[in-house]
Amino acid sequence: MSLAEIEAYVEEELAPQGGLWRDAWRRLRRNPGALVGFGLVGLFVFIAIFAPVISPYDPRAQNLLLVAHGCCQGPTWAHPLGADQLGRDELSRIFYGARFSLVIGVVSVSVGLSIGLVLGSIAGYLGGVADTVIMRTMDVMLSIPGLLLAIGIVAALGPGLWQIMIAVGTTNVPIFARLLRGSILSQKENDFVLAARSVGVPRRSILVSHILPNAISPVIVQGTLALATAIIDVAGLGFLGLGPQDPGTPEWGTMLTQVDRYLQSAPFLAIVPGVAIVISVLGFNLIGDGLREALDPKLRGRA
Amino acid sequence: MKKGRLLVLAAALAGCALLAVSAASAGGSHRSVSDTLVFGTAADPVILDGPLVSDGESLRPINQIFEGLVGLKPGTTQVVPLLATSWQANKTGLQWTFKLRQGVLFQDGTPFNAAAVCFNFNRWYNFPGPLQNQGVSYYWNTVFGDFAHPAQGNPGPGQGLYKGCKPVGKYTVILSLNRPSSSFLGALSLTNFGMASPTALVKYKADAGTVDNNGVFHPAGTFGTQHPIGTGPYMLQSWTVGDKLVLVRNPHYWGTPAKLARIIFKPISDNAARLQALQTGEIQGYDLVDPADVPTIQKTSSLKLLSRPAFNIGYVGINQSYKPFDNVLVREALAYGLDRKSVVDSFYAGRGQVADQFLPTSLVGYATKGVPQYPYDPAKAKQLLQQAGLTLPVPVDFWYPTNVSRPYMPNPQQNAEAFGASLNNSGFKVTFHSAPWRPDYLSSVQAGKAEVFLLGWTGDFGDPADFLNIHFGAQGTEFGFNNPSLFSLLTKADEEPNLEKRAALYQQASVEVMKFLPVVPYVHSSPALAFQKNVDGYQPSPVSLEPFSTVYFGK
Repeated sequence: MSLAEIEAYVEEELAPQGGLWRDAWRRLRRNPGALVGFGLVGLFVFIAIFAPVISPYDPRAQNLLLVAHGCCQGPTWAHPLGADQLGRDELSRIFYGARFSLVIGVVSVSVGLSIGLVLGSIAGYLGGVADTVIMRTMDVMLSIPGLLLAIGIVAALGPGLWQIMIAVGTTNVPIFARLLRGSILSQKENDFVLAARSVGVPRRSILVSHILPNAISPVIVQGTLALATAIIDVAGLGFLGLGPQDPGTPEWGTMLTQVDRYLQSAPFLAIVPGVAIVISVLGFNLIGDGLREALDPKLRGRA
Repeated sequence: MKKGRLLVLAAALAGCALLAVSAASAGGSHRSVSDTLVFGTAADPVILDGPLVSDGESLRPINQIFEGLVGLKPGTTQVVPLLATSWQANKTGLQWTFKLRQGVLFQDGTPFNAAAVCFNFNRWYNFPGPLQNQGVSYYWNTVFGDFAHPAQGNPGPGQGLYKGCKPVGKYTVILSLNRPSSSFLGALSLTNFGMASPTALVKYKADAGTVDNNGVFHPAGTFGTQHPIGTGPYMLQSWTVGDKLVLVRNPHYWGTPAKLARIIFKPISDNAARLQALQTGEIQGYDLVDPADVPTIQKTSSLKLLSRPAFNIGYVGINQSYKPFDNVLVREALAYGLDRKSVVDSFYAGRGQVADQFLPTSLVGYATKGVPQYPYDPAKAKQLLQQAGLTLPVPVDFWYPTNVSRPYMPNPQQNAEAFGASLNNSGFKVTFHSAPWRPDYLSSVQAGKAEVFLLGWTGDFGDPADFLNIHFGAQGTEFGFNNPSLFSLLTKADEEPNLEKRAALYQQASVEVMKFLPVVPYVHSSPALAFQKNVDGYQPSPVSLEPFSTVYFGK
């Protein structure tokens, strides 16, 4: 060890520990996979937010002249990713599609997360009858394959964007509830909980300020991964024709399903939204993986 | 594990596109000179019994096995002799005398004669209650209408077109009608009215069975599934549902024998899969080519494309029971607001022509003068809407079908989206509704649930009645209007025996329809078939039914 390294080591070890989160963040920064993930997701979020600014065309503006000689025109300088079967600019549609995917992903995961969080904490902390009732219900929901359950819910609510978000969110509820319950159960037996209880801290405060912050990390990891699943599920539901009723909506899954006729004549129309889905999902997955490693207590302290 | 599954799923979405492309280009030009033609179809037949079907996939094999009294000259809609050699109507037009071809045998050896003809007509006229369902015996219902023992409020004796059939001697038949009809002879050329062997009809219990709530016939006998016996150049050898239907040459055929010994119809429902099967040589031809695939086929040197004459109409239907569409100004505004030329030019791969009226150009009654034109003109559309006292934008519920491709609308959603955009520019505000073609879309439209909708029609025989009278001849829920002067004009036109006067009446009716605008016609398209280059002798027909007996393998 050189002097500088020793100094750094001492500084790091003796400096007041930044707690779980700062620690995790430090390790996350050193994980190249996670960094790539942040890059991809950052790009995705940037495109989603600034879609109106960076899109060269209105994503719904048709130009039938472009398809007058057969579908469909490939990439040109005017249309870097080509034009689709109605002569709409593919690049602008991909940009606007990022908005839909991001909003749908975030909203549906939030729906699943918030309901799952409440149910999981109640089941884990109260135990007893509440636990049994909630967890058996969750088991029933888990016994139905996720996408199938989502299709069922959309079929009942009718096709549309909001319905898809609710459906995908609902399928996420049992996953979060189970995860949090298990995590709370293991935290509940810790000494600091016993200590808090012995000095008379109310039960709700124990749960909210002592147990939850320690039990939440696996849920965060799952949340990131669920974002990726949600994007795929939403694209899948769109592909099955359960997406937005307005066929002009630039949603990636819907875009894929509309071009199956052109696989031979214009394969780029299917490849482009497919690649967009892959890249955004990959980004969230890489972040999720990095977070899992960073938050793993067994790996704590190791760089 | 979760992550792995996700990535695979995501990659598959993109990968399937690449796979399809590479599989297509790998196909070689496998070719073998043989006496068997394999033809790719979109679906299995429903049943091989003409009067009990109305879909093209059933009629295709039926057309090879059965023949009617009259037929159509190949490639045209001109009526020519088939099992009848000549015919004549009496003065009133109520009695038609047919001289029959002599020495013809059914495929089971039963002789064809006047008694056999009347046996067939009596069978149709005496259909038991369930078979009288519109969904089962559609063409008898629309052409003749009446039944000997009517059920469910169907018209009884004297209330339809058909009166009776009388054999005179062995080879002469007199058919009597309740009213004169000029479209009667053309209707007789329908494949549905082919002559079946009386022996086989009885022996294999053709009429036994049940009809379910969706109007589907479930036969108890085996006539329509295993023993369809007519007089045609081909006979059924075997039919395995979902796999193939095999026809063999009829060795005792009365006319020119079929050139190929066997024809196999192979159902492949997916359009892209049919094209791939043709590219790999698994099939030698297929129907219902997607316009999107036309350039691909034209670029492949081992394949060729055949075109049927344009004998159909794609239209934007309007239901006048919805306000404000009862106002003709609003319907005119809609017509001016539809960019029909761009849609036809862009989506039909050069195989469509903009329709300025409901009748196809080749048909008697196509009007050449006085047809009002509605070019795309957003300003004019807005002005008409304001003239009608409406505030812009005017909301429109626009319906289109999904999971379907018809010759007149290869991709309905694409048409709907393009029309939607042009209407939104023209003072309308479009809301889309979609439903699967069968059963939801058609029944919704026919029940009058759709305000503005995409639909079309392919002609069955060469008569304007098959287009105009069927759509606008009486008040219906689909279009929701009552126009007695148009109704009586169309009835008068159908009853007129003189061809020239009839043509004039139909021209007048065609113009009236375009003034009244119950629909906005937009395309006559020319459907395409694809074949291996060495397949010769296939003569595309305007009514989309071709004989296979003239097909052979060239060089």
